[in-house]
Amino acid sequence: MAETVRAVSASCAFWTVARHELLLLWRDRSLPIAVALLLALICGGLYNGLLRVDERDELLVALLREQDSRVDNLAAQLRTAEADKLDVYANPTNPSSLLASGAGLRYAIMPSAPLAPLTLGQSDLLPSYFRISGRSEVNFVYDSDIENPWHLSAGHFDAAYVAVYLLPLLILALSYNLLSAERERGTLRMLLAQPAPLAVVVLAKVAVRGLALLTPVAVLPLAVALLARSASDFWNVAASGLLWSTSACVYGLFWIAVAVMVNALGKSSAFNAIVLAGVWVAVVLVAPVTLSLAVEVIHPAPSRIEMVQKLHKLHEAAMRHYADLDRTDYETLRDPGPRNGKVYIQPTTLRYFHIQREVSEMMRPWMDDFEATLDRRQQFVETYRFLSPAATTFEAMSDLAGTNLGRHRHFQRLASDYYRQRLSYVFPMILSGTAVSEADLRDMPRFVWTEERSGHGIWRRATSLAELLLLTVALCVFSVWRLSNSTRSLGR
Amino acid sequence: MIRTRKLCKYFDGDRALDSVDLDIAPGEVYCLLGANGAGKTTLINILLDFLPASSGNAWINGLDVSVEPLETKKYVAYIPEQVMLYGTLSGVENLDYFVTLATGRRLGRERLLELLGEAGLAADAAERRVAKYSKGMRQKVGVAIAFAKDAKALLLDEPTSGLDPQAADEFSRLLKKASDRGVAILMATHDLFHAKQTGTRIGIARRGKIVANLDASDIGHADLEALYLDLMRA
Amino acid sequence: MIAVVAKRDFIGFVRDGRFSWVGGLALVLLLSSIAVGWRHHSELAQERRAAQLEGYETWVAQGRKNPHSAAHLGMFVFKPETTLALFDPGLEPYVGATVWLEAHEQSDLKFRPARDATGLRRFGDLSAAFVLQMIGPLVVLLIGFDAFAGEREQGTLRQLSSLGVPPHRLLWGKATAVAAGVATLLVPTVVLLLAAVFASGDLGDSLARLAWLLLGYCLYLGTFLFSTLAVSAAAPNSRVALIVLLAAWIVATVVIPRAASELSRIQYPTPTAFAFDSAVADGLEHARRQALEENFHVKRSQDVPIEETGRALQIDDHAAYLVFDKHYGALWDVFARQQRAQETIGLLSPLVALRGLSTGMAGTDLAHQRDFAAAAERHRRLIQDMMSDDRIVHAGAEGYNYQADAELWRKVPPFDYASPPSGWALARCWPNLVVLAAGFVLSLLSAVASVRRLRPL
Repeated sequence: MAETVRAVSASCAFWTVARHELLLLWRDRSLPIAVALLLALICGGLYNGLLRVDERDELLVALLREQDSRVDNLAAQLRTAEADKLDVYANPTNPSSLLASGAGLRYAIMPSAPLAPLTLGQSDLLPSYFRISGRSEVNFVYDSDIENPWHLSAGHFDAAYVAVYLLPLLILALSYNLLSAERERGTLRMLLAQPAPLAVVVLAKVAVRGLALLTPVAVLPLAVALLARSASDFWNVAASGLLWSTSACVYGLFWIAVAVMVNALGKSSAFNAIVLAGVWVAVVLVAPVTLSLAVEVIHPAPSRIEMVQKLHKLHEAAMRHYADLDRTDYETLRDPGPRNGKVYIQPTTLRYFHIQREVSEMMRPWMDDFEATLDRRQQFVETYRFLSPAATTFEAMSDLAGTNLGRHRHFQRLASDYYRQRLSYVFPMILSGTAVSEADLRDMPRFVWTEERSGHGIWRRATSLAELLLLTVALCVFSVWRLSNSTRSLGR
Repeated sequence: MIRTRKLCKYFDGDRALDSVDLDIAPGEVYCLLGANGAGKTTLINILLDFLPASSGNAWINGLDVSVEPLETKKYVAYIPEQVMLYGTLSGVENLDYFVTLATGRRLGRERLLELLGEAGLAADAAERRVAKYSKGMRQKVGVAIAFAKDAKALLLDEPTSGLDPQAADEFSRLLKKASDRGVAILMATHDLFHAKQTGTRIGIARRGKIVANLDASDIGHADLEALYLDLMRA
Repeated sequence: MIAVVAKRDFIGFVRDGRFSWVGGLALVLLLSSIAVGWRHHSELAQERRAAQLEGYETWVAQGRKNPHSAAHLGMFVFKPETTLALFDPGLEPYVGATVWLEAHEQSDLKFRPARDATGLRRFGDLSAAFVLQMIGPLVVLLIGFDAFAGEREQGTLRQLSSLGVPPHRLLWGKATAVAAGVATLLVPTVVLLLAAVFASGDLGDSLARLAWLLLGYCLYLGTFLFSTLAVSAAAPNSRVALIVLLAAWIVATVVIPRAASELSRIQYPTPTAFAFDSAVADGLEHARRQALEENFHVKRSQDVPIEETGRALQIDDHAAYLVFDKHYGALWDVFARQQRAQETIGLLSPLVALRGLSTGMAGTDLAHQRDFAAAAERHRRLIQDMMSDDRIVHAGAEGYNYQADAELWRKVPPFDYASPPSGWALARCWPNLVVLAAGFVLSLLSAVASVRRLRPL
């Protein structure tokens, strides 16, 4: 019986305090200002994200259009080709044209994932298309798009940035003096003189703040993703969007728990502000960059210098291997063909493709090694990411948005496969000097994008969320213990 | 030494000081009695130029406090109800700091301890951090500051409230010592007992006006109390 | 008197533990980032030197071949690391340091280190500059926020005023105390950097760069110092002062630089590689065709007489130079416009100006990258022209099938690039210095004004 009475009074206390708190925060304008600020920031971030992703999507469409029109053009030329009018360096019947860096260029394209506008992640550092010609693989897989390095170094202003960097600050700004202000005003003693348990009072106070600040972060990005990006696959977008919102909320709860814990220590408002600012600096600014530095020291990226050196030497060696082909046959130059389904392939052309293929194959082990090192680095980060909830959340968000290294690595593998596929289609034609027909051109393999099988990905996201949640719960347990044991000292 | 003429102060139309005329000569201890809100602290704040007067003038050592605020402070020392000091420094360190600021001279350690000793603070206490000091100990540091800068005027705001009787008595004796050296002392208080014991003259303030000016030797304890209560009731 | 106030304040924030925590953390970060930076820097510098030398040797040792073929092998060159890059790597992680000098094509700087990094790279790079830029102001703010507000709350401000301490003396004293706190971060940094400069042997110019850097950081931290004191004197209590200052710090160091970068990009969009390459390809196509027709009156390159092929190649290359100059020039100009736009928005935060100055003096900004890229392209053209000249002189009727040997390869000088002098760098980033100085003066004036209004009650 006594238990029931207590429970009723606890819930009653909760609602009374919550109502009162809402009124207070509304009166001193801190809540409306913070929420308005948050809304403005999220809208700005979402707008910028949409802008960037639209830009990229348009580019990808333009690339395909250009590729198609180029192929159509070549097909038309093949239909009307008159042997003696052809420019030897732009001869569509020559099989090397299928791999030439102008006419034979093909794009491997990674479409942006539905949630890309929410987390732009590394999408500016990792290209979303490759230009694949007959040049060796190393020549295209490490390409990057043009960008002002200042922008690359500044990072993006997107919804994830608002959630990871700024949301905690707004949470802390509203709750750094959750209890200390009451004590400094002298109202805490009055409050403690009432029969409401302190933990319930604190819970009600943070519930108001949490609800006000987490709702926009949870709802707005999800809504934008569903409205703007779910044309094809509503349920899939809804599921990953919900996961994104959950990550943001769990991260927000972590910060609320931190604020409560610091308040439970019973120090002054200024002390709380300093400590909380310090925690923010440590978690958001320092821990990720320190971890990043640790990766560079413990698992350094393979040296690009060494790679370039190796590439240069391989190139020189390959040139030696095919030195006998280093000549132009002027007799046939003026009359490139085709004759009876055959084209005369210039020795220099043959040499070029041999060299490119040899360099590509000889670089393969180095590239595999390189990938393995990148994997080890990523593994290291995943092992130690718990050191910074900010890093954990950011990784989860870019993972969901498909703007992380993982999806790009998958893309790179697909592109490499495509390169080899094309080579094995065209190379025999070059060796045999087979003239290209329109059918050959149309039958060239095209790049097909397939999404990575995501079972592993979901597991990874779930564990990182669970880790963060666990940490949050631990902080809460400590706070509740501390609050219920220190009612007297807090009232002093 | 301390002098005011027609000194008035209004706060949003409320009269805190109303045409106060005051003359305190060197060696005199003037005790200003009055209830809370009578204007005692306001008077001291104006003498220290912490507040500007609404009208009228105040002089210390012949210098108008609002015209030459920095110059007047060479001659005045201030001891509030709670002497505020830096908690992380020891008594000696605090004294060293304030004295150097007040006089521009560094006194030796020995001399500082001697000054604190004169003010009644034992050497071992003087080495401890001020955060652990009692109110009385803090006041002794305040008095030591006044001694050290050789102030000609001493402004005291409720110095004895909250002191235990022994500490308050010790403090009264310190003030006597100071007035014997020719310091003019203005002490705002509502402690009738110590006002009578320490003061040479006693003023009673009510709603910003000084309604009575008495010679301490002319009046007994009981009469003073009766008079005070009479005036307050009026 | 100023020294007395300064000493008291210094003891105050040292004894209450704030300084030891914040300053200690910042110092540890600072020293470890310099140590890591130094190691990384010296390894990298050595590796690049050795690799470039070896690349040149490979070039010279290539066998007999047609000079144009040799131009296709080309060589690769690296941007040498400046000594102060260990302090501020600036844009280095976001621009490649490698250029492949090859026939026909002007190449970008390749292999951005950031591309090989983990997702954490997005949080920034831990360098000494990062620590001083982000954590430095925080140290200033945390030791200075209660300089006046705290004294007022303790009641000691009344005590000080009753002693006749003039407020401006208090200001200078407190400023000295906070400056002394900051100096404990700056001095070890400068000492280590001096050691690095002496170790690198490149004294005169690096010292000048270091001096300008130091001036920039002093102005930057000084701006925060006096703003902190101004707010502390004006705020009703130390809690308000602290919150206002923390908010200002976050806006100035975290929000504005990022927002300025994004806004400048929206204002001046960067062309995509696709658009850029298409424009270059179209330009090249047109220029080459025109050159062919004007010089040889033919439409197809195979119709050029054999003995003229060497000259045709050279004419073709020279036509391409103009196209490259136009398009690459325009691209760098877009970058420069973006940077200017970013710096205009960045007038709101001294950090934007400081980054410009810091990277400029460390030799890791856009201007230095551009200078290096231009030098590399000059060398590429030199190789290409030497190869074509030799063919024009010696090939005759052999045309492409003429072969040259090591004697020709040796004539090509190794690529020797030195970073431009400090005066050159200063000429490019003096506006940043002016902005920093203006910010400093403004903060100083506001501190003086707010201290003048200081009331002890």
